[in-house]
Amino acid sequence: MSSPFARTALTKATSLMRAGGSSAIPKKGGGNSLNGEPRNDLIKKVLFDAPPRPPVRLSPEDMTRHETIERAWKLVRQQQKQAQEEGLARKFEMMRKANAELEATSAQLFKHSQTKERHAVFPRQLRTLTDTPPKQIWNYRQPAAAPSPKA
Amino acid sequence: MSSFRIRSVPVRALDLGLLPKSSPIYHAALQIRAKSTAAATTAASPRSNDLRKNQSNNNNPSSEASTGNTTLSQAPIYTTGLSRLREHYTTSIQEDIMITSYRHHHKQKKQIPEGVKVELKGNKHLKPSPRASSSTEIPELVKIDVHCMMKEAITSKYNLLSGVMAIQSITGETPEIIFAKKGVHNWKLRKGMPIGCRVTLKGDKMYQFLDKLVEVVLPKMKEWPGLPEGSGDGTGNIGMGFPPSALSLFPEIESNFDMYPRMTGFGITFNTTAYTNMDARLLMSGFNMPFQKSNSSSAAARKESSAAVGAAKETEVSKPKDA
Repeated sequence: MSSPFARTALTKATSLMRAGGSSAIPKKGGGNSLNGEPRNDLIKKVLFDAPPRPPVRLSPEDMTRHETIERAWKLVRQQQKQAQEEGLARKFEMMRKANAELEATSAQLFKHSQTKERHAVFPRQLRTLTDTPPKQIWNYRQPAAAPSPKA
Repeated sequence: MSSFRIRSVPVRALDLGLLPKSSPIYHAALQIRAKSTAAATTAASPRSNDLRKNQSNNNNPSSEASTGNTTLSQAPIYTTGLSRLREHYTTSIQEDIMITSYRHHHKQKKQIPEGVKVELKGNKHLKPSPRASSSTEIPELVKIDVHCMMKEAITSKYNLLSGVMAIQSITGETPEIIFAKKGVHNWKLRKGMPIGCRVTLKGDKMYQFLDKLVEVVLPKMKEWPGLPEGSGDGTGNIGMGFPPSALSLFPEIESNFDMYPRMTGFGITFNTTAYTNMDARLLMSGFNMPFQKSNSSSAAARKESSAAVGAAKETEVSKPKDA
């Protein structure tokens, strides 16, 4: 069973096994039959007896191409990460200066700015970015949130 | 027509395949790989050495010289597509988390000199001391651990197969099997028995799993109010458990539900770089992980009107108000 298509052969067998019914097949020798469960046999094959995929063979030219592509992609990711980190560092520095200024200006306000709410979380309505817009873009009938005491 | 030798690039596929390290085939494949690399290096050494130097100058540590040795290293194979939640983190919520978890004055804990053992009272243990706020010290999700313990494996170890397969289907990584460290007589558990399985997810696979969880599984769970308000282990990690019924909600298992003999519950741990529970909860809520809310919340922060702190605006919309 060393063919790379061994897994498809196994999956084809599953439909047969399912049609037969799991408990309807009696097996000889209870200890060897994996609890008398043919599904266990299949699972064991998939997990532990699956043959490794055949090695990828590349010519020297292909290898150079592959390496160049890998290096270029790494470079792109590195540049993106660097730009991102620079942006964060800039913003952090502005925030630190603002906090220092506030501390110098008013002790009470600074203290309030530093007290943290223990259960502060992002709102549940937070929308993760998606490729396409949602079906309902804006809910016009949603009741407005109660005004906060801070406002 | 110049003839060129086709170099084999063996066993890169080991990363992708379903092959666990306990399998004898894995070890055999490793040996074959070792032999082929040895053969390749001894065959064309003088020329390949020069090229190897050139390659290393181009700072490409992951693969070696092109003509001499064409084995690809076991570097993680990253996808070239975008990971949705990773992008969401870096573009949408990372800066907000940086601002919200900012502490202007760092409370420096006492540094314990090396070699000194500190014993705390009442079964407590030392926690890692937080670091000062910085643009590089932003709470981030590092890894997700999925672990499953099956009591049925005590009676027969083959009962564990279903759990292992289920976890593999969900996460896409082959779990490692956990053997009992100690025996428990009441449960008929012996030391060294295979009793559970565990898998660690990092990077794209982690974000993919979290995405599935948050978009598909958690909304379908019956009467699940969200994670407890005070959840967290004290050092910035959050754990949660799932009943066996939750396993059938995953799309991979829902599609061929009959092929799994036993449904099992499992636990998940979100490991973050946060140092406190509130930072960890803030981070996970940014990924749309719902947390329970109670009406009686910290009054001290709310009673007096504070100056407009940018971060607080996010909590204004959804927080219940108490007079």
